[in-house]
Amino acid sequence: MKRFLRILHDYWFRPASLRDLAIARMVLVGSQLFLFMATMDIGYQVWLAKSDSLAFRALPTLKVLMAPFGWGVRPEPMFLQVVWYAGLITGVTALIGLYARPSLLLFAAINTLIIAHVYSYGEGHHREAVMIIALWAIALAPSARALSVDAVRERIRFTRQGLTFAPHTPADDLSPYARWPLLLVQWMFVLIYLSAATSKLRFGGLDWLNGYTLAYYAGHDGITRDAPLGVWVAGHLTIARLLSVGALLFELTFVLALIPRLAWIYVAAGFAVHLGIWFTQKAPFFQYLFVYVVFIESLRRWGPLRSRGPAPVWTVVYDGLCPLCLRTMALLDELDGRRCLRYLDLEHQWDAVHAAAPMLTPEQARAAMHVIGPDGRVYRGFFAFRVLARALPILWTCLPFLYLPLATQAGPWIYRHVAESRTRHLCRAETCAV
Amino acid sequence: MDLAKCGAAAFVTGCLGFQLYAIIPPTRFTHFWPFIDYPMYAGSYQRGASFSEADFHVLPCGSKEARPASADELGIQWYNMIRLEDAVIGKPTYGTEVQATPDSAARLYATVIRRRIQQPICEAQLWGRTFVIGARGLESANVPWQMLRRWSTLPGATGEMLPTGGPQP
Repeated sequence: MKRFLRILHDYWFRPASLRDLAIARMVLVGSQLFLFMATMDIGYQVWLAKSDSLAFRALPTLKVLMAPFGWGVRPEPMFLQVVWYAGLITGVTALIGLYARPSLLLFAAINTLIIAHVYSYGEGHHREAVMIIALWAIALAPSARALSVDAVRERIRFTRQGLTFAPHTPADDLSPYARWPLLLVQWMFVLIYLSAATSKLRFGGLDWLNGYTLAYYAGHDGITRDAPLGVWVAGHLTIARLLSVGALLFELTFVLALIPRLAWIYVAAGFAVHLGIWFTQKAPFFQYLFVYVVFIESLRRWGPLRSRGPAPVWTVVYDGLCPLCLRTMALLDELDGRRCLRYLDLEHQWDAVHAAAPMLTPEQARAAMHVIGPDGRVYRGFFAFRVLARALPILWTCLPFLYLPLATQAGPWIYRHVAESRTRHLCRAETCAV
Repeated sequence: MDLAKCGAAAFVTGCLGFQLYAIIPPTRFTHFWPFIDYPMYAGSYQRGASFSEADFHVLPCGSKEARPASADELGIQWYNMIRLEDAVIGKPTYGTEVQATPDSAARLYATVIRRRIQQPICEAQLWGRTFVIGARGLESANVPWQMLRRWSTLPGATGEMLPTGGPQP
């Protein structure tokens, strides 16, 4: 028994990457925020709340969420409006990881409430369920310990307090609490697809594979929802048969996606299945495509887009006696998801700086930040920032501004102005304490 | 095991347990949402199976031309519109415990039309067409529309069906 519990513990709590979890947070929250705005129309919510109360049968989930206002109470239109706008705000803050834990919990609760409200009027869909469970899972996990405003603020606070900068070590990127939320949602996918497959076998039997069945569904949805591809599939029995077999095999064997080496095959097949369903039947299961991000670790390690070698390393030479420079290094280190930056403090690691860039003098290095590229080329000041923006994917959105026509004149001028007005704590280099 | 791990383990067990409960028969559909089963598109069909498409129209008083009326215009949810259309032609409605009769569904339509459409409407019409799955799949996607039902929507109308027939809308 003890051994079994140990195996379970290791399976769910083996240290995993906090960055993977953070990327999952951004993909899940970002996509749900978009879908929330696009499909959870506030006008529709209010219209439902004002419609005939006879149609209202509160789902247990809604009853639980509305419990502070009374058991089974029907949400008022004004309440829904406030909640909807709170959903927008918490979605944005959860996405960027600002006050992340309360933001994530509120965003998950608001999405659950809004969707459960709609479904309490008799409507019901399957597409949001797994997304909602995924949102709750990442809200309860340390999903903002990386790639978040909170993480940056915390890091800068530590740097400011200690007046020192220490780059992340590989161990800092791992947490025993980073794996379970992603694994949970992977298992939810397995149960969901298994439910779909066993329902087909239970209600339809092997006749589900006869081609007529899929021709019926594709034809029905293709005609009533105006999907020409569905009508075309419905008219080609052999293709309908092949698609039936493929869909059932995919659902029955999805458990194999839990094997890291096979995950990318099932994720690719899942994209094909759900996009195929959209084009033939106009059934929008787009949430599933985003929730597949829970396979990120397997995709990163075993997928066809996995990196074939270590990322090229850019060396940043900074002034370790300048508080602003230390905070900048802390910020860059937080944003460096691929760990492609190496940091050298010119005051304490000059030998290494000199070895990397023999032409660079200490005076030049003190005057501005320098970046040494993987090819040995040295960039200075504004141009150093610009190559860092190219090296860090999270800063790619800044690139258009850094390459504006006048950027090469204005950028160095601004950089020089900031660099000249920064302070240096010389006491740390000399013996002030004495 | 620390408290955080105990909490995570409880959450995982709860989610997987609820999901397993939701997918084990009998089907509960969305009752325990977000823990639900997935029986959609699970039934099977054979050669010769058919399905219908319906379209709801209203005939303004004094006009000879009926025009389509959507669920939005009538102020009802789209899925309730489909249920009402099914009820009008006497087809069992999915997802409801109470099955409306054609007459009662027609009366309900008439009430909704009088409430929601400002223009005086004298008649409601349900048009439809049926598609057949033949030996090689869907036989034809170009099936002509037929009027299935028509009924008066004037105040005091009983919901009784009127004789059908007429051109394709």
